[in-house]
Amino acid sequence: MIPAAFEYHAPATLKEATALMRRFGDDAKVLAGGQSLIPMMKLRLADVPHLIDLRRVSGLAYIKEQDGGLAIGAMTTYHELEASSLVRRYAPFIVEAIDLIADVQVRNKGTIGGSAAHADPAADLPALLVALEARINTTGGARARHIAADRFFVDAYTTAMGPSEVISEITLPALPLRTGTSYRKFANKASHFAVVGAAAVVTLGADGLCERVRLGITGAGPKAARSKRAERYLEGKAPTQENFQTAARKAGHGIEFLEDIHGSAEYRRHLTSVFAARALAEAVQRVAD
Amino acid sequence: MATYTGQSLRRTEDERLLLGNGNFTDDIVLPGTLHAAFLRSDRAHARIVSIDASAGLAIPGVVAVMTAADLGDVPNKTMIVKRDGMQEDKMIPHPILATDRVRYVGEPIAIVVAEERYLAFDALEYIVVEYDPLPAVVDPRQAMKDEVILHEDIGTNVVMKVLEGEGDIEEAFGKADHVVGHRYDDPRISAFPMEPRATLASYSPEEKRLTVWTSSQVPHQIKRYLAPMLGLEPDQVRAIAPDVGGGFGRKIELWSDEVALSVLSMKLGRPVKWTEDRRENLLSTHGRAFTSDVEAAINNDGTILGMRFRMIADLGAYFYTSTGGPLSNAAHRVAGPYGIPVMDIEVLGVFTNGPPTGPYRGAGGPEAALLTERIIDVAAGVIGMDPAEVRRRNFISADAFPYKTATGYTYDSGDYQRAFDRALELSEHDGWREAQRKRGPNEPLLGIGVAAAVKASGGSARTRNARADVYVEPSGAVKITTEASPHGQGTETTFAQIAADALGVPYESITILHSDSDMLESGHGTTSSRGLAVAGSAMYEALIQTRAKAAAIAGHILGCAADDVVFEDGKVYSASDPEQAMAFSELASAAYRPEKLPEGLEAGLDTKVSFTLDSNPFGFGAHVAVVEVDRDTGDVKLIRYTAVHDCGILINPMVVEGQIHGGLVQGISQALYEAMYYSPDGQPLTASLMNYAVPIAEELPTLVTDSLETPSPTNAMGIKGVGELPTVGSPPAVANAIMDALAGMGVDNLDTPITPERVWRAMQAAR
Ligand SMILES: Cc1cc2nc3c(=O)[nH]c(=O)nc-3n(C[C@H](O)[C@H](O)[C@H](O)COP(=O)(O)OP(=O)(O)OC[C@H]3O[C@@H](n4cnc5c(N)ncnc54)[C@H](O)[C@@H]3O)c2cc1C
Repeated sequence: MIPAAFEYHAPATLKEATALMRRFGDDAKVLAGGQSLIPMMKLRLADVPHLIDLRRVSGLAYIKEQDGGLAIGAMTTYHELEASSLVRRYAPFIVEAIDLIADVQVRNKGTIGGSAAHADPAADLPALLVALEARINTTGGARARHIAADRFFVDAYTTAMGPSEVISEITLPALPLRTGTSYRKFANKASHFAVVGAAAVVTLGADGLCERVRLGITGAGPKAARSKRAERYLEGKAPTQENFQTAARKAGHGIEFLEDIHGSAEYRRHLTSVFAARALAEAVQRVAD
Repeated sequence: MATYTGQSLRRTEDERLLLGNGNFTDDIVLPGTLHAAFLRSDRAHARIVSIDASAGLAIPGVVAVMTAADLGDVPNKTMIVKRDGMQEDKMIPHPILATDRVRYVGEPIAIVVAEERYLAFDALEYIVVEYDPLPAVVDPRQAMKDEVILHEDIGTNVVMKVLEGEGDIEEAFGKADHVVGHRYDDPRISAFPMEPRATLASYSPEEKRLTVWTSSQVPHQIKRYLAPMLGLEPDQVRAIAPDVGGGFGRKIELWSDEVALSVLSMKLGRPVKWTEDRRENLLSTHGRAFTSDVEAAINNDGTILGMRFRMIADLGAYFYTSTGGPLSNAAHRVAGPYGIPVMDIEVLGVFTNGPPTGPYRGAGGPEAALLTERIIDVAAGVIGMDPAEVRRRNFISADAFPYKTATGYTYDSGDYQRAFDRALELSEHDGWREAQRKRGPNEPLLGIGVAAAVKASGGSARTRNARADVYVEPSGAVKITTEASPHGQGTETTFAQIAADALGVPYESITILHSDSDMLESGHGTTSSRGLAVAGSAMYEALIQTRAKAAAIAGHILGCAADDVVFEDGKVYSASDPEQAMAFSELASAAYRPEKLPEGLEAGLDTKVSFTLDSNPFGFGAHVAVVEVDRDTGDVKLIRYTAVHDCGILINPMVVEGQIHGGLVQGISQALYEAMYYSPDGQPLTASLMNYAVPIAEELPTLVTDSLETPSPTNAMGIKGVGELPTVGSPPAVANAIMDALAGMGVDNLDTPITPERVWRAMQAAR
């Protein structure tokens, strides 16, 4: 549990940070909360000759309203999100999901940017980011980019970011009126990461039908992704248990299910439909509340 | 008179530990210390073609790299003793360091020492080991086929056989109304101490003396075994167990790692320190690891006529001293609290390409109870009787003690029926049965499980003896040296309670000294629930002798008979004339002045005792678990847990409750969460907390506990021991509750750990 030797850099600005990234290329990684990176270095699963600490860079931790939605600085911690009334008002499932991530100590350190950049297939927030159609704003590449969440997550531990890019901000668009949200997770008994997590964002129309449905799934496959078949099926239909179940059965479509000691592919497929149905039902329930 | 005994005094140990002022092995800093790291095999089975450490040695700050070739005169094997069922020609001990072959992932090959811990770890990456891979076998049933043989010179992997029992099993099966049978797997699990192993070995070339601080339950054994291996006299080795963060049976060995560190310290003349990391700990040794067939013959009236057990224990790749221990223990312990007349037991021990196994809290008891307690539920199902009722009909009755089981044990005392009924009542067992009947199809399944268990305390005849010294200083302060080596048991508190009452002195005036081989020349440490039963009884005997001498002196001074002297509240007085009194401190001071003493009495108030506990006391536990099972996912939630224990007379009920809580949780965890999984080729799949599951507080319900005290006639204090007892009954109680929840669906067998996916699959298959 002792990392290999590394060089530590503590830039004061994002510009300096990205300059260091360009200079050291593959030999460099940025450090945010360190809750994934440090354990990997200690287990010598990650060899990082140059560690560029973003914690001295000012102006990367904030939560503000923007165009009816939210703009969140990459270095905002789980705890800051959890404690924010803006976040709670915008979409309560963010607070609920964070409450299911690790423990207080980890949440005091871990960041939204780190969770997104790390792209752990079992991480919780990515499911919400795809369901909310978040944008991941990066800097340090040829130009600043605003990457849609469902294009950002490419594969296990792999994102659409280039080698010198850094996440600066994540924006969450405005949600229509009469929208409910829910995140339901089946936790791995050892790590408590998601074996399967389902994030639902459902808007009911004036006619009482499901008007807009977004469903993000994490844990089941190599990356967090939207279940577009399930979404399409439910849109325009009545919010009934039966419709949720049918939609949920389509939620696994296109997922290459993972398999490990915490769940076979078959079990993950089953859990995906169970938890999708539970999240959809709860999201709808919350519109009414 | 008991002022302190029976009181829930706060533990004297806690303040220091809770404030972070503990003194664990890793906290000890000696000048000039070198830091060690082990290079361990990443192959399950391979020949070692070559080891090249030159690049590692070249790193500045790296002081030495030692392999088996550098051991010199030190024999490359750990100490083992022959246990029941072991065969002289098949006792292959664990090497100190691997020579030409590795047989499990994690087996130590080389050890690096450096000026800094970081450098030692860096150097590991520069030591090149060339392997020639061999096929591996990790499943003990597969290993029994001897297709892959671990030690060719003995020609087989099957190296132990224990037979036990009484009566004609075929006859019992022939005449029974029903015979039921099942196979149960009980996988490898980790003892998971909060503090992993840690050792600091320091040889002084000037004093020609080696001091070893080590996270151990048995410092005296460390000394006893280590000295001859290193070519030293016993008094040239001092072993100290400082604060130890849990052991659970897996710190009762002299580990090869400890030997290697000692050899290095002697070679280099400097202290050498090593603290294991969690991965190393998870790969070092395991408990349980049984797979067994069990059959039971039962009549329609609930009478159990006999049981047959065919058990296979996975020993791992080599023997350590305690490796074979659980086998014969399990053979005796399958009897449980029942008067089953016919028992037929065979336990085989098999080498596999896994780390050595050995006793883990319960040491064969939980392995046995899992079988007996689960098959009783199956039998109850067949005759359509409530499992609680089947148990009540087969309990050994309170007036039948001493009771000799068909498995060769003699139980001392107990009232199983009463404790069991108390557990049923406290758990609202009948109310839950009612609730179960009322459950709707959209609610989670509800299951109720019971289990009952008996556990011996004190260990085998070899360890049922103990040393204790009591020394009353002239000031009246009392120093007691015990051979118990506590690591969480609260021994400093409970032993002081006993001593304060025995001498009628304030609790604060007692100091309990332990865990240093220079304080007592021998000892067996804290293992096998022997702390209070054996080491405590030895101390009690020493206290009685001390008091007798003190009474003789006091009688002489006060002018009364020795048996008229009363010790109370720090005072000593004559019962018949209480005016004749003195302070205990005055008496203590007088004891060291020959002119104050009666004729023929030597000065001093110190007593050395060697004590033998002739037979084991047996404790009892009754358990009731209530679970809910999610019909969609198979996830199990433990919603209520009740346990009633009889561990004899309670010295400190709060300390006992703490032991019970810990034991219950370890057992619950075994039923629901824990398993060390290996791939078929011997690679570990659960070598970190990302994959090895242990419960967290929020996953457990409030544990409801109660005690019943039937004094044990085996010892003067009437105590029975509690360390391992709660771990014996809790795994089957939880398993039985889950099976009860699933009974309506036709699911009849699930192996522990009963994971959500296993439940879900069983429900799918039954649909
Ligand atoms: C005990 C424990 C339990 C946990 N349980 C859960 C759980 O249940 N669910 C869950 O989702 N997570 C869990 N986590 C992981 C946790 O959420 C991590 O904090 C998170 O995955 C990474 O965030 P971080 O800020 O710590 O990132 P770091 O560990 O600092 O970095 C992670 C990776 O992202 C990169 N990175 C970080 N910030 C940026 C940025 N702004 N731009 C570009 N790259 C960046 C780093 O270079 C690194 O590769 C757990 C962690 C621990 C220690």
